[in-house]
Amino acid sequence: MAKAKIYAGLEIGTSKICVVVGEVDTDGSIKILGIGQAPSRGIRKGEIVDFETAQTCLHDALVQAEEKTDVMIGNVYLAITGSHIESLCNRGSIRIPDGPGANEITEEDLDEVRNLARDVSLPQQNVFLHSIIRDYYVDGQEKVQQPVGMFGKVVEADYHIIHGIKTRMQNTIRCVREIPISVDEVVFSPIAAAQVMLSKEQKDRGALLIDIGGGTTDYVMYLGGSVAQSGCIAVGGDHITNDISMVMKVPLTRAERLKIEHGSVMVQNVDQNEFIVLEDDPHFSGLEIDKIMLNKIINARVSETLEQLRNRIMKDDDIAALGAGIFLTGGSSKLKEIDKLAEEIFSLPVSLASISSMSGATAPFENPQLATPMGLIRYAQMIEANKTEKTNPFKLFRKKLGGLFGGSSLIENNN
Amino acid sequence: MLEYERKPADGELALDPEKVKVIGIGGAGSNVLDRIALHERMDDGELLVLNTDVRDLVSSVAEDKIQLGKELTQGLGAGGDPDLGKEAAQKTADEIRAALEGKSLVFICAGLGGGTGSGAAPVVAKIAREVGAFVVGFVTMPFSFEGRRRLEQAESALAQMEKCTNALMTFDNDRMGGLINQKEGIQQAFAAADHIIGQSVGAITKLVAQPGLVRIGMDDLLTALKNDSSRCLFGFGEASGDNRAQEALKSALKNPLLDRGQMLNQSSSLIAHISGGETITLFEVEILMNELSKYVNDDAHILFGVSSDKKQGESLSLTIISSIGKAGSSHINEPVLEVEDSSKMEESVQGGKDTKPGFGLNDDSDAEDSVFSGEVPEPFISDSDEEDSDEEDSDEEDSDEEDSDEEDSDEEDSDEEDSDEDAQPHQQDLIPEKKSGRGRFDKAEPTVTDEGEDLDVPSFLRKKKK
Repeated sequence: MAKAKIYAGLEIGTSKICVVVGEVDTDGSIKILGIGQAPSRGIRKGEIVDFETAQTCLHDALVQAEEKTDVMIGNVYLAITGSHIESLCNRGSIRIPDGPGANEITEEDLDEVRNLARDVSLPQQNVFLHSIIRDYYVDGQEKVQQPVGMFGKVVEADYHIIHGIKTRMQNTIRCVREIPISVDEVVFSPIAAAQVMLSKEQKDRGALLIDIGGGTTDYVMYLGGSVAQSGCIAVGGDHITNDISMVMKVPLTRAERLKIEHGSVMVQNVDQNEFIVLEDDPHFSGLEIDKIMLNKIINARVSETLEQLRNRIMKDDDIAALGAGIFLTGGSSKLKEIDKLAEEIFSLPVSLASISSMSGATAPFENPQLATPMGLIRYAQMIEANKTEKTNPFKLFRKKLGGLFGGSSLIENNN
Repeated sequence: MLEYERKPADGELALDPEKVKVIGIGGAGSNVLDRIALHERMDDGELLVLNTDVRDLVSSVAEDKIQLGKELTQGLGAGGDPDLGKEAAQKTADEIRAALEGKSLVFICAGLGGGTGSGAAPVVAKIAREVGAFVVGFVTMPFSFEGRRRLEQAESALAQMEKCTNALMTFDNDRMGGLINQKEGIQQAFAAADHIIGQSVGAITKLVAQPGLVRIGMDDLLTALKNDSSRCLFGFGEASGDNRAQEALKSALKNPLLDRGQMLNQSSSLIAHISGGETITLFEVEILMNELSKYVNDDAHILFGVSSDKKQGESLSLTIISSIGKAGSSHINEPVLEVEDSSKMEESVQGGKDTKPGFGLNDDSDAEDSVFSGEVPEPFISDSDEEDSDEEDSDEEDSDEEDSDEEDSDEEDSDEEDSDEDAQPHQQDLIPEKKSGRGRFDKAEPTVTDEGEDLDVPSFLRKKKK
């Protein structure tokens, strides 16, 4: 591989559609060449509800990205989300046959274990999106990273399985394909975002990444270096705006501005009788807004969402096991003082995640809104690296990663 | 498969009808009983209504009525408090015992989650066991929108019922109605639930009370329902005419609890009971069983029964009873609301278009088609025929499916809907109205938590209400 490769990551978000074009150098470093963005319409809660409108927006974003980077975008890595996406962990276990020269664990054995681990009953209309290896266990020895070549009698594997409703995922894919642009892989948004927002060390120590976007709040939790939980709550920044608009009786555009310019998630630090004056315009007779009230509305929504998320995670894992703490990203993480509120709710250190492991001029791209599409580039690079590692890239890709990126079957079936 | 064990079917009854008692407890229970009294040909067994609420008791059509806890509640309901319901039942225990004395088969119908049903049903079941009766419970679990509190009450009552009954059939209201957020659907959803329970009580009584060519007894019933904490599968279909075997099966599988027969392949044993007039032929039975076996797992245990009943005349009916464990059932898999009452449902779905929690911005029907073709059915969409027909034998499905639904329902539950409308409102006190108040998400797919909270309504407003 002498040449640098160029990848494009695409996220069709509820508030904006974003394309990031990045160049991966031979040494694995990533340089962002440029981004294309367009405000999205026809998308609610991370899923397309108006196909044609969404497609027009997507087209705008792609054209912008192509113009800025001088790259013809022919295929993309696509991030998807939606409330229908769920995850679970399952363990598969096989016995290695005895015999001469046996008891050595081979790739084939691991394949079999993987298939067993994936053998969970999904709801009928659901398909696998990812199945990610967490840990192998060989004869009770825990946390084996790579058991091939080891001797053992019983091999077990814990897989984290992410699945969603097939047709709903296909809708997003189809939207892209009709541009027409081909989709290389489909990636669950927070998994992509975590590739750049969390460092390996943070993943090892245990970290929770919360991506609060426009329509959804996606999360992924790493424990001991591997994905322990992931999922999506269909509540995001749009809900905050909607809440403000409904309670204050102001138009949505005004509510959005109030949220961004004046709103904060903390109620305590506001002086009594602090008012925000909304000027009147032809469609709106002016109004004075009580800032405490505004913050209360935002606080109610954000704390409710975070509490829900906490409760979901606490169902299966102890949140105190997160050594590295909690990281916030996504457009709504720009809300003022949201990290303080999250700290109160989770009783853990919370920080706003920043993009790591990128080279080149990253400053213009230091925006939590770009976490997912940036992550897609890193993700693409990792897949590519794995592909070329062995002699027969295609076969190995299928074998080692086919499951990891089970979305591929989804893509094939789409046409 | 069809090994006939000829028994003299000379009309001798296997179970004396006077020894059967059907008890409805609480608002939901008495609604079910009304339905049985009015719709089902329930001539085996006496009906008895127990309630704390005297208004409800008066409006019931059952012949026997006992007011629970006269002094305790002074004729009012238990107000959603199971402890009160329990105490009321205990205070009236002697009266109940007297009513049950000498009965050998007791059915208890109750809606769990409220006060009287959850509190009194286990007490009554215990008394029935004490007088030596075989007790079968029919209980409904509350709709998820009724809130977590009611669900918790229902679950604790269910656990008690499991201990005190011989067999327990659990009906999940969500599976029958499935409608959240749709005001218009509620009356019908409750009515549909009652209807199905009414059918199943009627069918089970018939099943064990009627003499059979191949008889099904209580032991078989226990086998079919033996799954722990199971969800009950029940389907009942009746038809007459040339093609009555096929038709009866079709209409039995249409039952929402069976999810068009798809739920059946998860069950390990089931009862299939065919009952017909004297004209029933072996050939018809064979066709029916062959068709049915397509839906059932190969190694499932089919407990098969046939009986003939002169009173049925030309019609043939099929009852399917089974149960599956709770695991594996998913929320997404919720069946579509398409019950016997479909004629009424239809109205509500069409009429309520504005408030229908649908897929979002689907004003533009073209766009809807292109985006959602092949979309998975959501609980609130009633016409999912396209989707399902792909998976089923195509000859089972017709394009005029809807029409036939309506015909069926017309035959089955004539026009006594009014009685439900009168009796229903008592149950609905705790259902929050969430028709609007969602702003820009009015037309988007609703986000509802497991506890039934609508997240699209501003949290600020919801918090204030609490």
